Amino acid sequence: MADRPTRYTISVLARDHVGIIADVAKTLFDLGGNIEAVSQTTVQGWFTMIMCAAFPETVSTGSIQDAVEAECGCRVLVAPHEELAAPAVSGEPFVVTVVGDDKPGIVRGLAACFASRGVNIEDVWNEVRDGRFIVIFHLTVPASVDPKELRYELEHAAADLGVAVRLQHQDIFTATNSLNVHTLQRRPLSSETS
Amino acid sequence: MIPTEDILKTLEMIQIENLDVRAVTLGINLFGCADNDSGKMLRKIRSRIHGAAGDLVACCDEVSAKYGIPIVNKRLAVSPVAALLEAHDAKVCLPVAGALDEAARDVGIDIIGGYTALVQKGSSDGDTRLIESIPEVLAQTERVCSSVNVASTKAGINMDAVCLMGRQIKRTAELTAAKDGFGAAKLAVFANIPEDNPFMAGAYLGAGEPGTVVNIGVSGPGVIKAALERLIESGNDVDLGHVAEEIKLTSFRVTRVGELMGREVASRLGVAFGVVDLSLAPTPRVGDSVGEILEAMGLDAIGAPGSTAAIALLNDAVKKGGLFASSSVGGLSGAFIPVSEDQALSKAVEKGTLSLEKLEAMTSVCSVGLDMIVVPGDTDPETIAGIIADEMAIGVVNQKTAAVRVIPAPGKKVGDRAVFGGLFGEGAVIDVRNTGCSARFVNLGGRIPAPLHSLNN
Repeated sequence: MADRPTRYTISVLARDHVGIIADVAKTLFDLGGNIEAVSQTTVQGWFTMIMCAAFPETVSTGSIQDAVEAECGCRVLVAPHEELAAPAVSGEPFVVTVVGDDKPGIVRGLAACFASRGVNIEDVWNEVRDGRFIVIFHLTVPASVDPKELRYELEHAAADLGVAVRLQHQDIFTATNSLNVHTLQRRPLSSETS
Repeated sequence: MIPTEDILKTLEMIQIENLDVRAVTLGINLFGCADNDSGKMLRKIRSRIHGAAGDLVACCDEVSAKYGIPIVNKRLAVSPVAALLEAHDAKVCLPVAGALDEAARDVGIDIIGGYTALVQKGSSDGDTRLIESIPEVLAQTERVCSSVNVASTKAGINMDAVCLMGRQIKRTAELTAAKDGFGAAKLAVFANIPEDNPFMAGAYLGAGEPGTVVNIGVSGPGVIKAALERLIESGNDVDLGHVAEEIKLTSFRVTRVGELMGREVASRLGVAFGVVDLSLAPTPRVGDSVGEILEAMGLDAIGAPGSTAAIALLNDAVKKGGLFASSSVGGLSGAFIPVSEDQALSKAVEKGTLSLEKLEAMTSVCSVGLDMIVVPGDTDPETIAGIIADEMAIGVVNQKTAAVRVIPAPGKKVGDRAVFGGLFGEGAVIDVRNTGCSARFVNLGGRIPAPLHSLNN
């Protein structure tokens, strides 16, 4: 590693197959890169991965992109890395689940509802299972938003979309699935109390 | 981030399998309301209940909405009312019960327990007045529930009280004959009554408890039944060890819900959190039945040989899973088999597969006793006392809580139905064999001594 490494954010998209991470990691290693953070997922047979990696000063965005695309058969996007502060949304973690018949506009309608109230989507998962369309949003609901009002608004939007929606504090899922519950109880109560 | 599969699993428990919190019960100590002036005492009782429980329903609704889990019942349990009657004559009993009834109504509560006397070793003046007043109180109030502890492992069985309760159950049913004897459904006779039980009709606040405290009764028969059905249909080689393990895991999840929500209700009310009661409490709804769990375990008829072993397995596994989930466990904590409140048990009685004797055997290995059983209206009080004495013996000797809540439905015979409605359900009248043969024994009275605590073979 050079004395003054340059960091890049690298996004990879490919058809999922065994060995893809090995191929990408080897290519980056051969360029002198060091992977510092990575997150990966697959959706309906498509693989995607986002990484932060450090390289010698001489390695450019173009050389990384060319090498990975050539060696691994992926589509790659490379950008100089910037240290970004985490989103400034603080609040209580809630989970919204949506179940119903699949049709265009469900995610759009609910996401617009969150955005208009400053509710941050931390993660979203969406799949059709047994003919049912299911979406799960992990949210941070700011203290200024009354969960009761948000629930009312979501239910209103869901009724228009013809789906069932539930807004539940994340702790209920932690309580029913995790061995650790007592640490949660030391947290201050949500804004719903006030 | 909670894994997607965990979220979907929890949702299924709530939406399809009837997972809920069965009871949030606020215990309220009323000893400070004692006063020689009965008018002042009644005012103090109302004021104490209004002050302690005024926000209970709204608070439960908020917590329920936050977590998306229903809280089915919000209830009150007060310290034994017999203590308030010591310095008064019998005329004050009904007004005191009326004050409890009205105060509960004022705060939006449908049932209030604690019209209670503890007489396992003998009765004080207040205890005697309270027990004498039970039939009128239960007939003339709507929300008041009564319980009398007549036995304990340390004291033995107070047979004078057992005989008296046989008569009072009969009288209570007669005074509420228009409702199939419903008054008796609000009256339970206990051995080893717990001080922190959140479930009715036996909920009261013990003397060793905090002044105001939230106790939680969890539920989940439907969740356990669904888990067992999935396990058995999985195609894997399933034995009863796997069944017990699945029940433990499910009980863990159910208990966690109660603990989380109970602590939050207590915190919002600014009162102590007491216990999670691990009981599996059925309701008359299909899919919310302890009897259906026995069927899922492979019993083609509830009451068939194997039923006692099956309920023992269920009871034990529920406790083991729940105990790992919460360090604040108490109350009755076991699988209930209240016949009229459980549609599968009720059907089994109707079909004749489940007898009173088999129910008694099952109560020796589960919670809580002979519960919500409709007996013929012409059952004599001494036979009812004999039923109570037998169940008390099971509790006393096995060092467990045991209770009797039987309803001698006036005018009803074996095969007829009694209908109570709501969570109390309905049920066929069960056959009581050998009636009229217990009077000489129970009328001997006195106290059956406490059992040995050694030589346990």
